[in-house]
Amino acid sequence: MFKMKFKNKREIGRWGEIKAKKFLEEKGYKIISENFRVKQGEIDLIVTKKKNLVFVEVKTRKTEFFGPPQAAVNFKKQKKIKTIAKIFLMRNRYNNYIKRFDVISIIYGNDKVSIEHFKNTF
Amino acid sequence: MKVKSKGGINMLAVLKSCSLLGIKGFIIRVEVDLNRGLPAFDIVGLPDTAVRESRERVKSAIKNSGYDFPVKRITINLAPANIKKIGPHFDLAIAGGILAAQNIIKVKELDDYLIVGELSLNGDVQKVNGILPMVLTAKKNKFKGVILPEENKLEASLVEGIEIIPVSHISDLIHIFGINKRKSVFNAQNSNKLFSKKVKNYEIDFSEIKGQHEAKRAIEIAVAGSHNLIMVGPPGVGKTMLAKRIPTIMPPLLKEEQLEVSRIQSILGKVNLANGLQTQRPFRTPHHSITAASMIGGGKIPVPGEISLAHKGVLFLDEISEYRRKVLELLRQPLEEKKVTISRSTMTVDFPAEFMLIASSNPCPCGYYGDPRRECHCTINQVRRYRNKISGPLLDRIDLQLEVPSLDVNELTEYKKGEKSKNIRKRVIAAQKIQQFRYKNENFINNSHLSGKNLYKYCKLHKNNKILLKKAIKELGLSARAYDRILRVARTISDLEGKENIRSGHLAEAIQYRRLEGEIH
Repeated sequence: MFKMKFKNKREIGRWGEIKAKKFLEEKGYKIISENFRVKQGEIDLIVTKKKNLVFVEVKTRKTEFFGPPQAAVNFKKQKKIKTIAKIFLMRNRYNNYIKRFDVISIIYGNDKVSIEHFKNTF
Repeated sequence: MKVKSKGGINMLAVLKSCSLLGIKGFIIRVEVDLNRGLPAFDIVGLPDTAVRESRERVKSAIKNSGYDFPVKRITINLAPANIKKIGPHFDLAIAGGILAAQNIIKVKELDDYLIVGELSLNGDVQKVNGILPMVLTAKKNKFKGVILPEENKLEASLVEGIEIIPVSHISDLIHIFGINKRKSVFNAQNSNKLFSKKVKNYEIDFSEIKGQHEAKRAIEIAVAGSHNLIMVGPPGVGKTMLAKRIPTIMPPLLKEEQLEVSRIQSILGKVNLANGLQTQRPFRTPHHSITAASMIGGGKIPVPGEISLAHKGVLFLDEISEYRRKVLELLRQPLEEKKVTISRSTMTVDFPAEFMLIASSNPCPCGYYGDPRRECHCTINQVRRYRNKISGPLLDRIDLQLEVPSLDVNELTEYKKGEKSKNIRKRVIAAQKIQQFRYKNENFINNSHLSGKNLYKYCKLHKNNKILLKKAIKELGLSARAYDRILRVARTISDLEGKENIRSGHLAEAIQYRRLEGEIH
């Protein structure tokens, strides 16, 4: 593996989102939308698998020194994602789908990348 | 403790702790479940604020003791879920459960132990209130032992036949049954020393009171038969002084009584075992501004009040007419039943309240009504209103009414010591033994409990005495309820003299303790 070098935090996040996208595609998810952005904010990934519609929040961190990445998806963030998900559903027809919120946490410290997928989290 | 592991991810651990409702303890199962998911830490099972806050203490305590706090979805269930969980003493069990769910504590032995203790942020185990009732609960439920804070070990050792394992830091809990077994049972070999039969010397004594022989005699009778007493007299004659010395002539607390008294104090965290268990009878003097809740006990989660703290001792109400009427009326049920029942929407709790009520009062608002040497300047209506503050039904439960007159100048200046408390106590104990023997087949032990059928059974009067009593009632205008009380008091007086039958002298003395009837009410 190579040593990660990023200029800024946005780059870290962007890199993580690409990682997560590949990870989900390998698992058989179909990407519907990337960085679905509205006035209220954005959802990193919106994917489907069979009849599931999944809103995915990707969190990337270098170390667990300040806690694991998934711990940063706090109540405020969850509320935000739910609001944006509603807007997405108003604009697109996914009536027959089961909706779900997932979190993907990525840690890239110590020359190795670990990806964890938490399903149906909030 | 049971640990289930599904592929090393989902883990469940169950430890046992204890919750108190009143003085009754309940076994609480602390179930800890670790799940994969967003990190969270929830406590369910009707926790109150102190229990819910234990999340932060447990988290810090585990981290600061060098263990990892699991980044998992942690759910704590306190079962049974219908009992409200109160107090910070679940900390240790919750922390232990979290460590057990991670297999840091591995053994099954914890299943037989009750765990109580509050944690501080650095992992120290702090002392908790109510240890005595908790250990008693553990014993009743056949637990092998109790793991509790170091500071509480002495109090816990009062209960015999159960292992006491004191811990002072959370890491001790790990080592009790952990890989390097380091179990240390507190050996309570000296716990018998805590129960002392010797009466500790009081700093006050009856011999310090000049004169007032009549009052001293009445107090002796009251204590001997556990009668309630009211003293009426002008200010500064020594009513309070007399009352404060009442415990000095009461018999020392028996071993069971010491435990009972300590159990109530334990709930409030007031047990002090530095000098062994308390042998002196409790003497409570609540201020007259006291509220109903602090008098009989109360609160959303009921805690014992003054009357329960006076259990097996004396409740002294100085200036009884100054107390709120509502508070005084509340004393009626406990005086009758020797316990108090407190009902709240979520629970009903009984506290023991077997106390002697000693009250004092001035005869009128200015204090000098009926005093030969100073003129009272109250109007009749003022006096009447003042006295009406004590209701009939309450007065009904006070057997002895005593007038404490102001002292003669000669008596005051004369240096003459009165009788020592020790001697009076001897007579009191003798009289109480007679009563205990006589009532050994009844469910009471004092003359003050005599009523109805029992009154006639145990207070048979000679024909001549009946005539005497009839005459007294007629001429002094005494009520029907006074009749019962005269008999009860006469019974005690004859017990003090060790006589089987009530004699006319005893009866006559008993009658004179009613002479305030009509005058005071």
